[in-house]
Amino acid sequence: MNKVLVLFAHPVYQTSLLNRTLLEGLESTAQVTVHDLYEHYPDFMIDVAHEQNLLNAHDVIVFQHPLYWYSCPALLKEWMDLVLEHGYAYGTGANALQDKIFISSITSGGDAANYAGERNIRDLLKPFEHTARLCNMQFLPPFITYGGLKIKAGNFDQLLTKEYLTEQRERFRALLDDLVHQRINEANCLAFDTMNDRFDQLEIQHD
Amino acid sequence: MTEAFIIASLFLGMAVLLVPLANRLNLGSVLGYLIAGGLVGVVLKLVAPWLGMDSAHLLEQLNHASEFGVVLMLFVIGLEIQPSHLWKMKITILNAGGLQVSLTALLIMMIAMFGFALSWQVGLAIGLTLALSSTAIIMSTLNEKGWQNTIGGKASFSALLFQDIAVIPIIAVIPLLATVSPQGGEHLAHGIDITTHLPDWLKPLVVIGAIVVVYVLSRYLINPLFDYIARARQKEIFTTAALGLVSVIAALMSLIGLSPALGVFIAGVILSESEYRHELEVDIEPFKGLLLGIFFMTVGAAFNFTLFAAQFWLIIALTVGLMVLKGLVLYIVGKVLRLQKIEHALFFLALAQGGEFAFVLLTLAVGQSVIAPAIADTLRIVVALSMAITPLLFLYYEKMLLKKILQGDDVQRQADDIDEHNKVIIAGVGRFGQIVGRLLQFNQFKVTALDNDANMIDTLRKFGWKVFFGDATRMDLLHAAGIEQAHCFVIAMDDPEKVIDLAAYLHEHHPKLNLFVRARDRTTAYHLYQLGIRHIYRETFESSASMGEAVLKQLGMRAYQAKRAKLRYQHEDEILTRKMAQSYFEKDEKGHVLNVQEQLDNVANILANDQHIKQYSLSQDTGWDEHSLINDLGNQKAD
Repeated sequence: MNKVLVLFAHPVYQTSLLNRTLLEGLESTAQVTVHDLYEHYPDFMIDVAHEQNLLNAHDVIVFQHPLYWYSCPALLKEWMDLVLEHGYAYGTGANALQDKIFISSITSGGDAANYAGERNIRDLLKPFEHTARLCNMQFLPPFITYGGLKIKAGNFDQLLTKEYLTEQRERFRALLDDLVHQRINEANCLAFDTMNDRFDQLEIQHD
Repeated sequence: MTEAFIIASLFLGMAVLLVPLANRLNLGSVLGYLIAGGLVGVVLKLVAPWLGMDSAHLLEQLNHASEFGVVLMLFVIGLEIQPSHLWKMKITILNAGGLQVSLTALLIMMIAMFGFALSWQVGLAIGLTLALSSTAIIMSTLNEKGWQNTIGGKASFSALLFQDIAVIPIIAVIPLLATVSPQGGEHLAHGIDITTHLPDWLKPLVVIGAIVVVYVLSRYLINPLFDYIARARQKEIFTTAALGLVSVIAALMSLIGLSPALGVFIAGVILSESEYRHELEVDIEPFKGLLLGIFFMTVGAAFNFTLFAAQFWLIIALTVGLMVLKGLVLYIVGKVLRLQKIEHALFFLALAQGGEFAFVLLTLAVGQSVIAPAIADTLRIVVALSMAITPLLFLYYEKMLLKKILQGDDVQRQADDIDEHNKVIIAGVGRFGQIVGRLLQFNQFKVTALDNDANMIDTLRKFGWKVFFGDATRMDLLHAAGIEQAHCFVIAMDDPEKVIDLAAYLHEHHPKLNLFVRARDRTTAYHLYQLGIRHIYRETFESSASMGEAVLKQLGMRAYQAKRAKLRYQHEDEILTRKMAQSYFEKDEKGHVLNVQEQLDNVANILANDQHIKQYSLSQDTGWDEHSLINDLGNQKAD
């Protein structure tokens, strides 16, 4: 079994519909650790040794965050800058993260249509992909939960919205379960642009 | 009228001539006043008959009048001591004072009995009289040197406070020691005493009643009265009221035979929590200084040179004996109080003299026929001489002992010290400046520190700090510390007035220096803003806001939200403090600064400003706010 570390970063979690949908009620267990970065480091003084110990103790790293200007919130970027040190995460002889699994779970204000064509989500997330590869990690396609702001603006039918949110919540739980039980890795996900595609396909197979 | 002008010119002229000279020679202003007084005494003897006056009588009158300076001094000292603080000192007061007074009195009594064949009653009266030290000299010197808050300074103050209280029972005891019936005449040096004719059982009740009156007066009547006067915005009436208050209390105390100094000290302590504390201090300060100076001069002027010449060796021997004896007793008391070497030295050098109360008590003892007039005359000279020697002991302490103790390890270091000038100077390394210094040292920046707490310096030097001893407002010290080469100057002393003075001086004369200034309270911050200082740090602002942040978090706020709430509050408060600083210095139609706006500093005003902050920012953090974006998206759908 894998141990999964969810690195969660949201500066105003209290107002985030999507992140609360995904994370509320999700307690840390023996297999899954939820690490709330903004709650831990409100003054951005990241404890690098502590963070590296956490990384060492886990096999899967999940970045859970909203997409802000096509990137992550500032604290998670600070975390990357400080914790993924040369000589620890990358560079000659550095193998602390080797073969561990990296996956992003992104929430977004816009919907899927906003991330098509030139603004393809995989292209936007390239910096994270390259980071993972430089650290010799396995990179999995991202899991994306769309439409936070459009839902709040009432752009969608309420019933559909509720169904969608419930589904995303269950899929996120299922994703974590798959990661813990080593059902997915880089090799068996190569065919998918996003984790969402994989879940869609699984459903079609079921039907 | 002409005579009054001549006398005034004589006193003031002599003071102006000699006090700055004494200060320049590092003798301290007290010795300057005493010497000036001595000269006034000589001149007065020649001039008085020509003016048709009796010089001895005149001096006695002036001495009584200027005793008001000592009273004012104790009032100001009281203003700086919170009641809770005084309560904490009670053990030290009892230990330091009780042991010192009883042991000294006992030893002097033995010497008087066995060395001079006097009766035990006379011996005890002399012993009690000489056990008291000079509050006026010691406290004004400690304040002048900035040593009042050092451990030795506090111990000295504790002993003095006990002595001031002990005067009450001593005055009561001395008449009982009379072996022959009083000659009549002067009953009490203080003048009228309404308790004399009361039955004995009533006297303690009268005393307690008087103290209750002082308490009620200070606690409940003064603030409304000052509110009323402050609203009238007449500066001189405020000053009048302040002096009047002290006079009323002093009169009340004298009437029932208590020490007026003690009475106003109690009033001062009670008023130390009043919002008018600072105002009172500022108003009384000049009167205190002037009257205290004249008081020292009258002591000097009353010096009997004829008798001194006649009994020269006896008086010298008695004076030296008195000071050695008192010093020895204080040495033992210091050991009991476990004072460390530097503080210990200050303690037993500072209090080894006779005090101004001795003059009062000698007059009383002679009036009650306890002590023969001839003995009293000799003792007066001994006391005056010991008072004149005290500034020299302070000088010895400052120049020799402190230097020796502090620079013991400096000799070998001096060579590499000469060219080393650090970029950062910190003035005041107490609880505030020390943290600044430690942070810098922690980051490999060497700092030069200035402080006048000898104990602190001793410790810091052991850890490799470069510390200069002395008052940071002195220019020679600033020069020695390398002010010309410094890049940053941290002002972190305790005394707000010195902080403001130093900031003003450096801001004007070293404009390129980056000043970082500690503000003890809002009022200090206002003054610093007014000076144009950019980096002002209000003492408790950061830690109390941090605590508020922690409480917000405990109430369920997200950590980062609480952090931002704290930072936003601080930011708004900073802006408002600047605004309040401006209005604090607003002038009235005649262009006078409305100093009564001290009221601005009260809690109600700060709270009113918090309401303003709320309206200003709607109390909501607008970071990552989505409302307009959601509205936009909602409208798109409608289209």
